Amino acid sequence: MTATESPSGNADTQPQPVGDGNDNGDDNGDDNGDGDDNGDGDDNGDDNDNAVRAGFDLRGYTYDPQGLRPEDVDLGALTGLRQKDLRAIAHLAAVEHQTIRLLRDVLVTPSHAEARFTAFLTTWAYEQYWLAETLDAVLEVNGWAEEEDVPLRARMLRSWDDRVMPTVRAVRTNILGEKFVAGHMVTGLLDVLVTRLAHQRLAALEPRLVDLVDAVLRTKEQHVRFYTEQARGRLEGHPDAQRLARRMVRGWSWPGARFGDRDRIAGVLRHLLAAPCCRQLVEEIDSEVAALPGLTGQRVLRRELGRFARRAAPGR
Amino acid sequence: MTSSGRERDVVGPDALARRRRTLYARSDTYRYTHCSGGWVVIRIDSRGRETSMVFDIDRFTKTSVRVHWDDLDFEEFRRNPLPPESLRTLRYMCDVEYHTVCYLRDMLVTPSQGDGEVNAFMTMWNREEFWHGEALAEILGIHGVTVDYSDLKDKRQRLGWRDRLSPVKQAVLANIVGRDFVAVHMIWGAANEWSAVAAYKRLAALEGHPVLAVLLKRIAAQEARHVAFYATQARERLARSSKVQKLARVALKKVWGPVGSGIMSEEEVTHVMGHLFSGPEGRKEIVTIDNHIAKLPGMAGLRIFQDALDARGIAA
Repeated sequence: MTATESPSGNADTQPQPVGDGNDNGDDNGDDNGDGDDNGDGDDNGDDNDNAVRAGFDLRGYTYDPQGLRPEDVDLGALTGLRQKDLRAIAHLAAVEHQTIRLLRDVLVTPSHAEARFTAFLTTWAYEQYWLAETLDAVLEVNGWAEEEDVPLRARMLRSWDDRVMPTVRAVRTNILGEKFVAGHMVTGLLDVLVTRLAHQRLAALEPRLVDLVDAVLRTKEQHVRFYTEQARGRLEGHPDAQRLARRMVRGWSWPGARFGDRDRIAGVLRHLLAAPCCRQLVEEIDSEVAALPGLTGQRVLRRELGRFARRAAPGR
Repeated sequence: MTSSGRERDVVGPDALARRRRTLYARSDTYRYTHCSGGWVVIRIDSRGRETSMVFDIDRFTKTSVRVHWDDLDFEEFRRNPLPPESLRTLRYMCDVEYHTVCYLRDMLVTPSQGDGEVNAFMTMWNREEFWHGEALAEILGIHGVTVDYSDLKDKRQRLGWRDRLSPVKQAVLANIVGRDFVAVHMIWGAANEWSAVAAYKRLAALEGHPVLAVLLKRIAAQEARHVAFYATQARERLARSSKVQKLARVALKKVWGPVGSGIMSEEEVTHVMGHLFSGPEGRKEIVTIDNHIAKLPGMAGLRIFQDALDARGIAA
């Protein structure tokens, strides 16, 4: 394969300063993340490949995935974790296990023709698989047996999404065409940014997880770089793509929330993100997304956390 | 924790194996047992006797690596280039390997998705096939045939609505047929993987090129592991009911075409089939594949590969 990319940096992201873990924050984000939807103009999506080709070393990434595996972790040092931390790990494991479903949702759209994207997704799915297995291994050594009781609403949604949505999505997005791909890059970026944040907070709350999280962050950093670069390149100068991306961002929800027990996830988020220092971290993610072309003013994470904050009762 | 993210064959703590052990301990039909250095699933018959070994997904995922060719002297292709007809066949194989992600998409919109083992397999399978494409693209590149991401994108886009609506067709069929549809996917996959193994072996034998032969042997070895998965799954699922067998039989007889026929022109399909499987030796391989399929429950008498050759006028 003659892919032409320049070498990538490999900036490590360290866990953010330790919060005290007390549930004394509030997340009453408002719900005003609407951008204007009046993008017009012809989206000349053809060959914006050139615009997004520079930078990310796709060849290097596919060649040498950061496949964190259970045997890379000193599991013996991770026994006796607190229930709250284990619940958070279980949530993250469930999210990372969802990869194949996300893969499907992307592949039924015009994104499947983007060979660069599918090459990335192929490696990403591999990394995510092993990350989920590693988190499962941590749960295992802690004897975690708590099963999530998935509410009927979520089960019905999952069934709907599995049986009907792929068809709807395939028809709708293929009519809309290539400009749809940018939206996937933005929501993909959001997913990575928030799961990265959750992992960072986990390490801050339980220092014994720092080594594990450090390895996770190295993997996620690559994903952030890819999605950011792709999103920027595909949004820049394409009003139609920006309009679709705004719509997709507004429909975005916390990974795993659509099919999960939202009350339970609210409890996890409260545990991870309630410390005052998290406001800044949430703000940073919203700013990162809002800095993308056409997404100015979007405060998507704050809005989503606001929804959760309204349902998370104290002490949950 | 080790810092290296490189792939390796791994041993050590295994959460997945422990989880499965617990799971299978409750089963009357299967036994999860340690054998030849790894954990395997053994099927138990109604009298409690161990009958056959089931595909070991844990071992497969742990040992799944990208195909390696770093140790091979690809400069040999400059000194000893491949003839045009072999390059044409290699190009076909390369395109089909890269297209795996689209086959994956079509499977993910059916109930095949959702099963943990199937998802684990598909994640690894998709990546291994991607790397087969990369390896073949490298050889083609040395011969001046460029296969890059832009080229693949053009090719996928040129497939048009037939390709875009493929997941819709699959999803609709799957919703009508239900879970039995998985058996069709599995036998379909087995047929394709059997033919892939045969095709790589035939090309290696026909060319007698010292470097190509080694690489194709490595690829064929990975394809053989894929056969093991699909055939095990197909055998298992077909054995459950005669209705499933009838469905699979009709699908193979009426709808199946040689791997790649859905994305390549008929001219190319005929070239590859003729190049690899004409003459007594080629026909012998084809008969062997048909025999494998015929041994699956309810498939006796099927000769889809021989029919495909006959329909194209490819003589034995």
